[in-house]
Amino acid sequence: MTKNTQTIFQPILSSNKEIASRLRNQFRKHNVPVVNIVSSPGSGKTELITVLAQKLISQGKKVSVIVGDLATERDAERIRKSGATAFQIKTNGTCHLDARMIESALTHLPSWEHADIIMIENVGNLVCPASYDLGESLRVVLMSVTEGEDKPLKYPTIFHSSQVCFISKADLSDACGFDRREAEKNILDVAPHLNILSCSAKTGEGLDELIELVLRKQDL
Amino acid sequence: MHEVSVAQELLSQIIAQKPRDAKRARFVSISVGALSGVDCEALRTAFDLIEKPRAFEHVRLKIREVPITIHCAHCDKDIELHDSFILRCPDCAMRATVVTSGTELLLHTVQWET
Repeated sequence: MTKNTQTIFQPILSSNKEIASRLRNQFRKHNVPVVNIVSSPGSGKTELITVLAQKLISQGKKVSVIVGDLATERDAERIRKSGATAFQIKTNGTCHLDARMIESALTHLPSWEHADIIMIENVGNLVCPASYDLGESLRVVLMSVTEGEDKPLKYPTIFHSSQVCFISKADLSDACGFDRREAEKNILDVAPHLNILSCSAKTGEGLDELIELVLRKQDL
Repeated sequence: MHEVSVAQELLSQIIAQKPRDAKRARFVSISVGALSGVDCEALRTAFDLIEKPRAFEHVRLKIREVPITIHCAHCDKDIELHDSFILRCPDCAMRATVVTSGTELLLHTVQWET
């Protein structure tokens, strides 16, 4: 018996990375910013996307949305009411979106090439989506004030893999006794590079800043 | 539990690399960073449980766990963190935006029996 050791040295998720870079090139070619929104279930992704889409559409912008859930069309239906084009990915139990799913979703999104923005609502999960590049230009982690200030310390990887953190449901801060300073300290301790913004889909607080940030094209 | 997807990706990669004269795979060595988002124990279990072609049935997974290393701009040095995700320099407490290792998820080598 002979033993041979073969050196390979490549990322284990290299096939996802390849598709993601192909997608990123396509998005750049058409000059479309793509935002991948990750958070735990119930932190307000769908509602925030819906109100952002409404605002953008009222400014004459075209908005496309890809939504990932384990089951049902519910979120895409909610988002479509804003006037955005939305496609629902049903992952049938898979806990994250991957680049292949996005590539296939694009074939169902009519004229995404002409959109002013594509928002991707990832599966509600603070662990698994961290490892999967979707070709996005910006990854945003959402953390609602109802979740407590220590979420970043418990789930550091997803915060570290993002570029922006939106603190959502800011209108409930007082009711929850949310300590913003403590939350910011925790966020920056695990991800010192993060840009942090507060927002409320209900009162509209911070939405203009969010829009300015997500539409910024110099990052593309 | 995306470790099942990761285990399947890993298996596809080593299947694709199999040299024609190799009879079976003996060991596969990988490195998993503390900030890669992958749990080593869950990956080990997933890799043991997934269905494999005959030549890969008995392959053993060797995992090198890679700690987070940050670069402190203030002290101008690299520091390895132990059991912590707080990206602060232990000496000067400054936050570090540069992570020099610990985010990787890499397939290194496969040992084949020919």
